[in-house]
Amino acid sequence: MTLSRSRSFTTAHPGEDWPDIARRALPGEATDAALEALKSWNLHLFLRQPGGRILGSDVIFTEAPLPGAAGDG
Amino acid sequence: MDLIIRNGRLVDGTGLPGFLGDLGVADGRIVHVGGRIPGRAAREIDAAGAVVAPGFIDPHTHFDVQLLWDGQARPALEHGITTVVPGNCSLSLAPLKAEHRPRLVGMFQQIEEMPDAAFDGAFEWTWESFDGYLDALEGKLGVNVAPLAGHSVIRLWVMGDAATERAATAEELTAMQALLRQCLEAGAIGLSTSFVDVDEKLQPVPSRYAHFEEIDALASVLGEYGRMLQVVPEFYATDITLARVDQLAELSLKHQIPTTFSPLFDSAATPDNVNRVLARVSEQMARGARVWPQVQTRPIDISFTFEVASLMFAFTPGWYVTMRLPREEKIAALSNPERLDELVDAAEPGGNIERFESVRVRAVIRREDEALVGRTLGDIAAERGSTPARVMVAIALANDLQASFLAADLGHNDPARIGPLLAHPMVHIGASDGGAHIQSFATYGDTGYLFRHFVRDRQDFTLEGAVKKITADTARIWGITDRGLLKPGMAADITIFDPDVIDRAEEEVAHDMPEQGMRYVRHARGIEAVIVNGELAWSTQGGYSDAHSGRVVNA
Repeated sequence: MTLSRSRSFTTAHPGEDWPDIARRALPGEATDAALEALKSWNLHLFLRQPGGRILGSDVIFTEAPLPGAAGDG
Repeated sequence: MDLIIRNGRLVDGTGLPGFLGDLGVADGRIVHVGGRIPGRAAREIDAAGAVVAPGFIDPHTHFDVQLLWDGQARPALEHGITTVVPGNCSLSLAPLKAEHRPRLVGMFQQIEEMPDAAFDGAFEWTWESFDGYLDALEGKLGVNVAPLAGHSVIRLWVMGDAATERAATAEELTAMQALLRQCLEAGAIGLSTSFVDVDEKLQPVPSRYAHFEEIDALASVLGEYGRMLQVVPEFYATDITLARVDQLAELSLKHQIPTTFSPLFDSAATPDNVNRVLARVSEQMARGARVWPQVQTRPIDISFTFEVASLMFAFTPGWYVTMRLPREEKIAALSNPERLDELVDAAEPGGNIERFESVRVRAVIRREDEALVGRTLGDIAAERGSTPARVMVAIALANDLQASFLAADLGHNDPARIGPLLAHPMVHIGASDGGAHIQSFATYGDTGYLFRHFVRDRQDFTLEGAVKKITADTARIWGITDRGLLKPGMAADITIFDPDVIDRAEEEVAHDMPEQGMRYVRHARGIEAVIVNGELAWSTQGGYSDAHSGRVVNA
């Protein structure tokens, strides 16, 4: 059984911060651009207090919502 | 024979059509199903006109504390629930070092809304280990208990304060694995974790600090025993829930364990949520993964007063912190015009009064306010030229904080959507939260609600199909091998009910927590008798018996 395509995500490795994740998840992108992209895809982490704090269990999206998905509702 | 139930309609949990016959019990086990049983038993029950079914199993509860002074998990038992699963959402009362008790109490108070008195004098902390907790329950149980071990307390045991600061080291991971193994050996039915819950300071519970490697390491221990992993996903965000489904499927396939996540809600605000999640679950199940979404039967209603920090106030820290203040400080804060303006601005941003507009006044203590009962805050606010949040505070203050309010049908409330969802073959009926949120809503009677609305009214299920969903299916999902069916050799957990009447009663306030603590409850309708391991535990005529025949059960 082949799984249908789903929105790609990762989780932080111990000790990783956002730049680390940006370099790992979006290789080839400039770090600043990658960080901005990650921020826009992970508002659930940036809107909480303190904004941008990463917990070990957090789902971190590495792409935008897929076309046709009804938002992140 | 110890017990014969005669002339009942035997609905055995398989989903096959029920049939008339007798059922016999000896030594706590079912020994005879169907046909006429000759002779007499020590106890006989005439079940003519009633359904005789396996006892219902509630897979998502927080009765951990209550069981210590009320081993019958009232009023769950009178609804036909014969087995409860406590320890959900990463929190259990063991394993727990004495020095960590205050932290756990804070987390439990947040999630269960248990009053301080529940932890202070209502029982004696005699244990630290998981088997010590089970020993403390010994002889008290009127229901069967299939307890989960909580990830947050396991983390707290091994890491102390660092449990809410950082990733675990390799040595700590090994220690957590060993501790979980001890819990499973003692009788834990699995492990619970949470990606959502917060403590009383609104900070993430310890399990949320765990990296996936840690959950994988603990799941590998579950794999040694084939036991359950329960998680609370970010149920309010579909894409994140889908990611959790994939994570659970990976763990299930890798370690060959069952997993379940709860809750999965339907809501008009996110109409695609359920379909997208179930589509992913179906794909993963087709690969051989076991990822069971738990769905509750009842709509989301919240009853609340200003006396406690209800879930209703969790939408903003300002309200929540205010509601947690000592009584006099709370009254002072709510009476302070500047503070009130801040609260109202948070509740009604930009003048949007949606949040409290449809909330109804449920009860007041001041006679001159009695005419407000049953009216919406929006209606009262329009009459007074005010806003719903302001009139709510005014009514609360005028009634010494004892006015109560009801926010009904907040979601999961369209029967035409919920019925087919509950009947979906990959949906696990559960998520009752029994024993939790006790000062926000009654978490009892979901099974009665199932029969009333989705069997009798809408016919989304046959009677037999509904019984199967909350008995044999639940037992199989959790790996409980000797319950959930009426079959010779199975434990004699039996619920006898009138299929034309079974329902939940109206929600009411009870003061039956320690020190007369308050909670919302619902009693049962249409349940005639409940038998636990062959002993009559509750009946319409006699109420709760003094039988303490419940046991710790596991997979």
